[in-house]
Amino acid sequence: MIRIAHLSKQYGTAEVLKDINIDIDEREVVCIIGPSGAGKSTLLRCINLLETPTSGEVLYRGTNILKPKYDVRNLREEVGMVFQKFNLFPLRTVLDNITMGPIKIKKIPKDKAMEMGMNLLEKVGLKDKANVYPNTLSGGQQQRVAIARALAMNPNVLLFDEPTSALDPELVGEVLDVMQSLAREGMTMIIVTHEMAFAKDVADRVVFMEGGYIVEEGAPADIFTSPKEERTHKFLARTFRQQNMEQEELA
Amino acid sequence: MGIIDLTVQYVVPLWVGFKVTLLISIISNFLGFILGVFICMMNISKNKFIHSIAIIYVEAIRGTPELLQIAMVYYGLPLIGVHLPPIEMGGFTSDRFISAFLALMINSSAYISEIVRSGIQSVDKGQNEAALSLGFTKFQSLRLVVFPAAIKNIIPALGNNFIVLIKSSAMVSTIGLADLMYTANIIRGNSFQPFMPLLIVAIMYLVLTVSLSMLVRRFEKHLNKSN
Repeated sequence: MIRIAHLSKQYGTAEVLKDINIDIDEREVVCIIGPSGAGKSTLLRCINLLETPTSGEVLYRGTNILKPKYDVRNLREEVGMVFQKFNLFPLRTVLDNITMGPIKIKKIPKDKAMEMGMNLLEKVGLKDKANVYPNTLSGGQQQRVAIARALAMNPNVLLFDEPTSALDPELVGEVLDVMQSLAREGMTMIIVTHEMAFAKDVADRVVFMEGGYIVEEGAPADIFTSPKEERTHKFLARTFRQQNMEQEELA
Repeated sequence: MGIIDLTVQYVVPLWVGFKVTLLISIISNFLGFILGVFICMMNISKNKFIHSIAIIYVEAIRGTPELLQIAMVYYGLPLIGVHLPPIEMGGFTSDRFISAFLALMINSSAYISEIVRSGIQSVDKGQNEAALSLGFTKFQSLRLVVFPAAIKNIIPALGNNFIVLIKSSAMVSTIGLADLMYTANIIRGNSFQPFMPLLIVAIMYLVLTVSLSMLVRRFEKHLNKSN
């Protein structure tokens, strides 16, 4: 569904993505893990062209989206994104946040869009929050609204850019639950995350990135239990130690 | 003669002057806002040429005295063949109204464009990214998401600018438009009282500016309900 070939991205002289090659199939859930500064978010943002790659190809359903005449809006309607900091529109109510895209972009009648919006809110467990403003919600609730907003465009793919990194630990679970149910429904998802347990449970494939390269990719069972690369092994050992410590602190 | 007697005696010209000042301020501010937003769009444009025009405009307007700008519009336009028609406003007809609107509009647009620019820059980049990621065009994102958030942030600055405009509108009295300031000077000559008329219009200006700043504060509170 998405094919990335020889993709690179430079900021001035800094090369943040180096010769990235990866294919993502329909209905696949891919988790991208790795230390900060590895280029995970940049890679994700190259897929909906919030960042413009320096060179290489990004094919979406066979079409190179980097062609000069390509209409990026069609792509973005089909490829939704969920951000680390939610980025809800603070001046609009929760329901307006969700229905704005369908009404303004897809020209769906308002009453129909609102009905759809309420269904989506029910799905993420926030039906009673339809008419409040986003700033009155907790981080976990805001992120669930953000997921509903992305879903309202009826996307084929969802990109998640560290969706739980800005949340208090006790709010992470509710967001991951929503993502897990989406995965079960067969949504194609590319998730940049530090939640290793979630990646292990939900991902069809895990990609480990470091220093702008894809170091290793494979089934979660393989990556987490017997990584081939020394760097993957080191990163996982470090991360698991940290997350265990956090969990003990919570307990 | 006391302040009350003087006010009662000249209540008609004072009332006309009050309305003229109020109308000039409101209309110039409104037009200045529209022009200011337009200049701001030019300023944040990626096109270097359009961007430079906006920069030069803002610098030229902010770098010259407003009194000079008013005189230049009033005396300059006829020289290039533009003769502005007289219009009636607030019970008073003058061919100087349009010159006054133009000069005050141009002047305030330069300041407003900078205020709007700071507002747009104060909006988190993620807002624009979220709108784009949904499939909005850059212009839709600006109009529906970024601009409303920017306006909310700059309401106090815009209100402040409006108050400044009300006060500086007194300068149109120099081209002979019978606003409050002009009326005060007429009454001073007529009544042989050099000070009292000034006090009367000072109070009238205060009524305008203080009620406006109260209005702005209420509007701000109303907007803050989403926080």
